[in-house]
Amino acid sequence: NAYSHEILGVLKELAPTMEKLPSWAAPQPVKKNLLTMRDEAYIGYEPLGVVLVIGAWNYPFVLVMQPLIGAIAAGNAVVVKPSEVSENTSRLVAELLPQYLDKDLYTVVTGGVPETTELLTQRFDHILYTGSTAVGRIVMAAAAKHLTPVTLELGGKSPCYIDKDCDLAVACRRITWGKYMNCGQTCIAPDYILCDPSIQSKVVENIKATLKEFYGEDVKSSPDYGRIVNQRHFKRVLGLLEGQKIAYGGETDEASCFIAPTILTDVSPESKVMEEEIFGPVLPIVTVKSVEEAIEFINLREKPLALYVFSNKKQLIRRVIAETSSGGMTANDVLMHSVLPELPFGGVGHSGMGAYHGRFSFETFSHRRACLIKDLRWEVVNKLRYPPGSMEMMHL
Amino acid sequence: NPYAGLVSHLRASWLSGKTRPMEYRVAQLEALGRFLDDKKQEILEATELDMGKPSFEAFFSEILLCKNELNVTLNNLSHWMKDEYVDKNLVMQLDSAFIRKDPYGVVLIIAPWNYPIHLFLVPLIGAIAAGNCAIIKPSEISKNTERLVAETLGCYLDRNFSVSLQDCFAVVTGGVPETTRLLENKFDYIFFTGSPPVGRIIMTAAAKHLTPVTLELGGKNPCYVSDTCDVTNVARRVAWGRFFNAGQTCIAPDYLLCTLEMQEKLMPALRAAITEFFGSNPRESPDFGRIVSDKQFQRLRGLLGSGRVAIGGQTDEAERYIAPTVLADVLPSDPAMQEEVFGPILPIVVIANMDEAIDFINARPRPLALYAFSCDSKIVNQVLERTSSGGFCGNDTLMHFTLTSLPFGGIGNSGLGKYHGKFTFDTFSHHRACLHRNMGLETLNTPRYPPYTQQKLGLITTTFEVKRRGTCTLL
Repeated sequence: NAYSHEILGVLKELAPTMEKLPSWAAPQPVKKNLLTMRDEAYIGYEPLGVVLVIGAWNYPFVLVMQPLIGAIAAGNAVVVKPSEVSENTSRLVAELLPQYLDKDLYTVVTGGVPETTELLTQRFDHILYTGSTAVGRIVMAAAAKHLTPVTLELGGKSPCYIDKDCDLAVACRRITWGKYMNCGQTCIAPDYILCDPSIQSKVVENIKATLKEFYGEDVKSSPDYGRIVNQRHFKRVLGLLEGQKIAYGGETDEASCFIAPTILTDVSPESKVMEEEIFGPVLPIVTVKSVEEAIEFINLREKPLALYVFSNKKQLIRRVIAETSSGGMTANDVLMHSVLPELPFGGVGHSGMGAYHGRFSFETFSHRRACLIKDLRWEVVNKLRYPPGSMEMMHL
Repeated sequence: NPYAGLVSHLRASWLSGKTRPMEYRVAQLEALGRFLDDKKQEILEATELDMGKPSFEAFFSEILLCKNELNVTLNNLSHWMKDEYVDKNLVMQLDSAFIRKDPYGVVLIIAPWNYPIHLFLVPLIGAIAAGNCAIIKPSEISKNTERLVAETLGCYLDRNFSVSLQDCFAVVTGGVPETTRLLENKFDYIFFTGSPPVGRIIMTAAAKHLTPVTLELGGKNPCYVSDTCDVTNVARRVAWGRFFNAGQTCIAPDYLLCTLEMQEKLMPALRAAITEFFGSNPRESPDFGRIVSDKQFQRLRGLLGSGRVAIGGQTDEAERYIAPTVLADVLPSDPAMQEEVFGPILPIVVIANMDEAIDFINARPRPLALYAFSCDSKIVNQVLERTSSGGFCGNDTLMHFTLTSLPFGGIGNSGLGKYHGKFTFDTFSHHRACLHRNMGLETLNTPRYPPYTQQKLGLITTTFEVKRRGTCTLL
């Protein structure tokens, strides 16, 4: 559903940005101390200069537009580099943007790895990159040469813990929505499920039922079910199914890059499907005997971009939040923390650094400059700090 | 990897959750306060041995300013730690949306030699306040302070009966080879204060592990003096900022920009200020410092050939003494204008007017600090608005550093990130978006599920869309 994911996402960022910009950009007076009582002390928000936004292919429009909004709002010039993998959107952005924006300040660069590598040798004042952890390292290393600050929106395996005490039908419906949207190619999709072995088969049944409700009996002919973006990723995701117990789905069609919504059960933590971010319509279930085991399992792995927990028990939810770390999280639903502009959207550890959306985009692309304006008079106050100093002065 | 054992020990402590409770954090912070009180004399002595730091200055920067940061943190910690609840949209009215301040884990703080206690302690305050474990790497160049920290800090932090092994904090000593090996390990945050070239090395090492960094670097901090100003007060404030710690301050006014007439007027005023501060022979003043090392001394002596020596210029190699010096008529091509001075030498570059000064500043890398002096506030504001720098102070030097409510950090070559006060706490915490939804009201979610229909789309648009004020929808 491209309209709601791509276009609405941009529209609902634009209006509040335009409305709140004057208050975001206004100098922020700060609390003063005794010595600075007569002075003006404030934080000024200033543009960084020329910034680079590198987009990803899975939500190719919104992932360049949303950062662009923040960069423009903060007063910068922007180079936009959409993903070459989503070549149609990339071409569209390259054609349309110059028709609406000042060509001297905002420009689109298209191309693949060689062009991006070349682009990264240039000096930027900030780089916002959305993509994989591996390339995130390359971007940060390139930025380090110029001491360029970076915001890296990366990925990982976002865990989804289902407690025995929860409304399983509702939980599974929400999980199904988030997992199979865009054919699983969402950075904050629930990557895998952790649950007690006693509810595993019920989870499978509920997801199956929801899948039929969403996509009908023949998912391949549903207009609402996507495809894998290209052959390379198709083969990659297919490879993850090797040796796994397929409880549901598993049908594929290479010609159309179709992989049916698939559920794997009794998955071993050491298997390939549990090593890398799946980024496809394959949902492994790993069984754990308790929430302690789930927390330990999660903490043994790299910090994910998102974390999900379903439970009727507030205490359990609070515990999972307190004892784990992740970019963001939603309890009793999936994806939704990314929809609220008042919440920062970003990763931690291998899932990224920095954050954006709403006010956080503006702040990401601004320099907060400390400003202290004193008077040239009132020198007598300064005499305390000048040499010759004495120990008595110190105790003042 | 010689430090792998140490880092994994700290990581195990981190995973045990020991550093998270507020009581633990407060206990460590209070212990740091006792460290400053108990070891005050030793700190003054060590910094004097390291760079002839005058006691007055050492007390001010290494004790007083640090205690300020401690108190601000202790006074506000519970407030800073609280989850921040945010505004919600229409569909989330029954949900709970908040930002949680999570510690990162095991952090690394690398400090330089010029304010050797302050520049590890203030970041450490934030790291502890945010609930992290920390490895502190003081500078080997200020070796007396390094020894003091390595030998005594452990007695205060994370006290357990085995003083030799701390669980949550450690001090690592050594030079470039040791720091390089230390950086092979994965840290969850790295806080570095030092030079831009080393900053690049740190960030490159951090990139391998995707470790976020704060880099407090340096540069040449310009100081513009307009023709309309109180020359006496300007001279005092500039001299104070330049010669504090014998010029070895990252935010010291690095060079002066003014007209030829102002240069002539300033000279006697600067001379008077220097005499007022340090007497007729600064070498005998207990209030004037020394250069930290032979290497730095040689480097600074080489800069004396720039322009002409108008005040000072005397040096003594044995003492590593360089007199408070002002160089007049310095050219942009002179040695003193090619690198950060970081010593008690003030070059004056003559320009024709404010516009030329601003162009001069903007043609160069963005500095950590920028100063402008004028009785006319419009001029001060123009310089502020038409330039870019980490921080700015009008009509004084250094003072923006002392206000804990102002963020302290650089931009471009002078650094990335910021700290002091709450900004240090925020630097060392991951701001985690949390949404706790209701399990009921599932019907409200129906519009988002497939099969997608035009009607559902209309519903989503209405509930999620934010209209620009001034437009209206007539149904």
